[in-house]
Amino acid sequence: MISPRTLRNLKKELSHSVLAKAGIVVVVFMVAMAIFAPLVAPYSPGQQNLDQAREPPLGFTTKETKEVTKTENGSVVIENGQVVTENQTVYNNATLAHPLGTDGNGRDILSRVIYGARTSMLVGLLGTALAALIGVTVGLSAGYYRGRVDDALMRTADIMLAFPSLILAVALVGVWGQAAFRIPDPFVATGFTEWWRGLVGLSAGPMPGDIVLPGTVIVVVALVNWVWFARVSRGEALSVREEEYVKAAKALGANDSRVLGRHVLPNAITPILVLATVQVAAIILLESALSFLGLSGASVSWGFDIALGRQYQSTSWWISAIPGIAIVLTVIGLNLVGDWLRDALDPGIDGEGGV
Amino acid sequence: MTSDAEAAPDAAEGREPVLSVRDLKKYYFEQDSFLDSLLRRETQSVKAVDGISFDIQKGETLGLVGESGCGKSTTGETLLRLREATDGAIEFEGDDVLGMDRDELKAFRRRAQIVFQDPFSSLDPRMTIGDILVEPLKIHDLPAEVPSEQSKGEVRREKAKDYLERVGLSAGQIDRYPHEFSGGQRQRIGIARALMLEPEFIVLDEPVSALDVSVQAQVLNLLDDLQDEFGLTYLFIAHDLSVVRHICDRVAVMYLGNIVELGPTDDLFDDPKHPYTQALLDSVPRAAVEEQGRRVEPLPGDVPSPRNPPSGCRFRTRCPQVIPPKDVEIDQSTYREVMDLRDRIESNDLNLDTVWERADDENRSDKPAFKREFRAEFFAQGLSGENEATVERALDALAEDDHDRAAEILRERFASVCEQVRPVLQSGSHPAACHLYEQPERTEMAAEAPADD
Amino acid sequence: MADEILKVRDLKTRFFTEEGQVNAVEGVSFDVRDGEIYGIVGESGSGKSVTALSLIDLVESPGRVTSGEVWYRNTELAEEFRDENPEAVDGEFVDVRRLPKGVRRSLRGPSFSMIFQDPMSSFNPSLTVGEQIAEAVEVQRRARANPRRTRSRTQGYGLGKMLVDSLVPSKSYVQDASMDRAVELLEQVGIPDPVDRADEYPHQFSGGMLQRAMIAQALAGEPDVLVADEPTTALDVTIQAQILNLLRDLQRDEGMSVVMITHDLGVIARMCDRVGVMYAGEIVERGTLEDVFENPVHPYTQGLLGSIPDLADPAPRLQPIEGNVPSLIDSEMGDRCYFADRCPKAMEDCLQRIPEFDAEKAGASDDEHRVRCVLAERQYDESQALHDGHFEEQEVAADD
Repeated sequence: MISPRTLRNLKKELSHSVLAKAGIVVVVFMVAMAIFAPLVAPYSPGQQNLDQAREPPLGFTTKETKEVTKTENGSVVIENGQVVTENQTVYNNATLAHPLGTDGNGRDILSRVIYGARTSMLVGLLGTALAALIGVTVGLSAGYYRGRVDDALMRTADIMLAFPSLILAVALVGVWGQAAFRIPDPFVATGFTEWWRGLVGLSAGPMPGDIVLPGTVIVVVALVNWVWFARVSRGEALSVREEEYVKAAKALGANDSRVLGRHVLPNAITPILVLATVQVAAIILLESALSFLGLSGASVSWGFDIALGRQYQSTSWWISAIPGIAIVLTVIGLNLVGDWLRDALDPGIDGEGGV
Repeated sequence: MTSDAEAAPDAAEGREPVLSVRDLKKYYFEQDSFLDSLLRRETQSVKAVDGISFDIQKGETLGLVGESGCGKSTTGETLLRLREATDGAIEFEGDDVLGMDRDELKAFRRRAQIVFQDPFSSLDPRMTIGDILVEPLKIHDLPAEVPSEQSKGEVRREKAKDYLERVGLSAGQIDRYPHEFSGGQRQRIGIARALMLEPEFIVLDEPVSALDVSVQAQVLNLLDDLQDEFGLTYLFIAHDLSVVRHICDRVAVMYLGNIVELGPTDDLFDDPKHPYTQALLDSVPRAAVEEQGRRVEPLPGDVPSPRNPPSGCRFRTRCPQVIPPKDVEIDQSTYREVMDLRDRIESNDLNLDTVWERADDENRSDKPAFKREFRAEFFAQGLSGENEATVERALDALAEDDHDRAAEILRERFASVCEQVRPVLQSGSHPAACHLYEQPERTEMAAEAPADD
Repeated sequence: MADEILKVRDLKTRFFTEEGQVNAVEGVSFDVRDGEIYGIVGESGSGKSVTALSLIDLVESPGRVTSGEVWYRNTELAEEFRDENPEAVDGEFVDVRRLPKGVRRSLRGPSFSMIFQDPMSSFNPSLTVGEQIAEAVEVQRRARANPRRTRSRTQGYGLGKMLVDSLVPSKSYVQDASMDRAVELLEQVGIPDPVDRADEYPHQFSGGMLQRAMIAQALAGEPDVLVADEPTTALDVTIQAQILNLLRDLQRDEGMSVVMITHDLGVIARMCDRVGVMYAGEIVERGTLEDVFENPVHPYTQGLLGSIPDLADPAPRLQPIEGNVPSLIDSEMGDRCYFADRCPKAMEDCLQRIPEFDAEKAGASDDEHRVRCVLAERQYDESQALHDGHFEEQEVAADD
């Protein structure tokens, strides 16, 4: 389906644009992190170590005033039958063991961000795929058949759009609960993880054996976002159906499904692809918002971690900030990729113009 | 509608027509959506094709000409059921096209094909030429049987290459994409695609109008050759009369959804009967030295909207030969002025403010001044006798701002047969739908029913 | 014989695109006389529209007029620049391309005006037709009132003024007098009820009416030369006949010269006195209409005339030109007659650049009949003919 010319355009546009390259690097990095999480995470994301709670990331030191028992010459000072306490300044130094610091329960933030990428990418990609499936089906049929079908489908879409998406999502999760499916992690299940971690010298602690698939959230984000796909693909179908090659195909005897699948969809795919990349970002944001509110059902998620860090905000900003940065980077990266696709695929499609 | 629509004109007696069309209508409905019905908006119909009848004989090329918006392309697409007809009958070699079910329609598609105008939009930009040419065979799962040593795909590809060469391209270009070809070459590919199913009948919808003249001539010659080679029957839709004269055996001229004249090409071009055909032929600039400085009397005004076409003869609002009532003696240009005035009063398109302004009377009481100014603006020459008196009375009514009565007064005296009765094509080899020529008796024909809309 | 108003010499316009340099206009020369309609005919991609734009300095990036002269007869300008810029002045003529930019711009309207093929996209859909014509009138009125100022950057309609106008409604940019003139112009181009129609928006006009309105707008500056680029191509024949009549009436009444650019040889035949035939950026043949149509010397002109079906006298078979219009990309054009690859009479002599010849030897009656073809100088010699497939072989060689 990708013609050599499309590939050429993609390459050409890529060589022109630094931003596109940056976007691709970020996105590829995030996706790789998500896929190979059990192989690269220094620790299991759930592994707690209260002794090392709230360690700052590398390059930072925090100073903290603590009430500690006063000691003199190794023995506890007792005055008036009471243990004497004194205020002491404690310096928390970053350690190489936790390069991005630890959270309030002493869990390694780097590991949590890596595993959080899994949740975000899963929801983002599956949610977008589902939204695209619903939206493109609806939109193409509406645009292709016009008339009553179009009226009914697009008025529904308008109503959906009028709803604030977050509130709709919260309501839907409220109704349906937080069903989450657990799929065995192939790396762990095959024993590859253990062998690999031993090989590269990462801590051998048991990694989580399951990938948590927040089913409700995926369905909900798709139901909230399919409208965009419907609108874009309807617009494309409306214009493509007027093309004479569509009429020609009908005149040749092609039935509707052939016309839609062979002619309308391929010629409408470019803007849908561009929209999809941007929608992955939007859905990741929505997922983060839902898990921030504690509605996602996944126990490791960027949004969830931001929420966890909220209580330490005044002293340990990184607990919230680092997953936040991860979200921002991913969203920007995806948008840059979307821009690149749009620039590369849009003008060359028809190959006309010139002087 | 007209009662004798069944009797369509037929040029060649004794031959079975490949295609026969009777009283075909295609209306589009605007403001027809759910929201419109919710808001109780009235559905508007656009009468793109409004009751046309013709036959196409085997092996001939019938031209369908007319200006943009006359419904010629809609006719072509409705014939092949790319658009659903509103009413009428189409018979293709005895089969009822409009009544076909899905399977019959698919079988019909193998026998009747179409070539489109725009060489750029008629080929899917994402498919190679090979894919485009093979697609029709795939759709119909052809060929049914293949020699054992070859796969179906190979046979199809061979056929695509063969047809590519027959339309003057080289078989080596089969894996290229449409954008690598020029307009003329793309049009050849479109023709090859239509031929792949070996149809008997092809609708050529402005097949050369997007092409440059030098390339246009190549494609016209190609179409000629293919017709001989495959024994094809063409419906050639075009607006370029020179091209039509060159390629067609018979020609039908359309105006605003109706066929106004139909006849053998040479008859029609050498002796046009309908005033519209005459004006159309006169308007065409010829590429010859005799053309230099030739001044044509162009038709006045624009084609009326098909949303609200004129009653009776569709052409009467621009016709230089509108027929006045028998007892009214009036020259054509003055009659035209009277009719235009009445049309404008009736369509509420008359703004009297400027006339009053010129009459310099803000109170609108100085009727003589108003009438004087009005005449100066609307009538080039003076009227006389009873005509003068009638116009005078109508102007009195207008001065009192009573548009309905003014229209009524004018209608009473000046109503033309052209606006009351829709002329129809008679049988014969070269009929024209015009009251200047023999029409059925008035008594047999109901004046156009108001329930028509 | 009438005097020339415009003398174009060796005009070249290039487009610098990603695919390479496109030679859209390749050394075009022709004269336009007082009160004549000069026709330029060519197929798509022949460079005829770019020639039109080049004349009135409207070629836009990535295109540029790279060389050539456009001599325009204007005594006033000639006097003004005789000392200042002697290079740009020759007798009564000034070379428009050598004038300062501001002056060149100020010529649009009172000297040169243009109408385009698609009237719908030439009007702003959010302003009434009357306003837009009045604006053109206003620009000219101000230019006359204050010629010096107009030649400054703003053409009398600066940003500040625009802001003031939009804030103070009564202080409309367009004066009543200009609006009245706009109505007059609409009446002149045959629009019924001009007062009412002036207040309507472009979408309320039919194609033919809008083309008339565009002509009215072009007339606002009372131009010496009206460039009409395919003015009737988008119209039906009956409407085309109206517009052609109108153009000729206006040309006579106003005494303008018209440069008529079209692909339609019929329109050329009806309207023009003299004609130039363009192919691949060059005028390959030019002369009076009779001469070019009756005694075409260039095989392309012959082929073009043989390609059109004649309405009155249909030939049993057309004689098309084989092949396709070439690309105008500089690196692919080579040093040869650009028509040689499609020419039925191509000879070895054609493999070089061909200058313009007088066509007298080829039997032309008109002494101004010029042809870019060796056949103007000599007879076709079959022994020197290029064999079939000569250019295909070259292409293959180049591909390897």
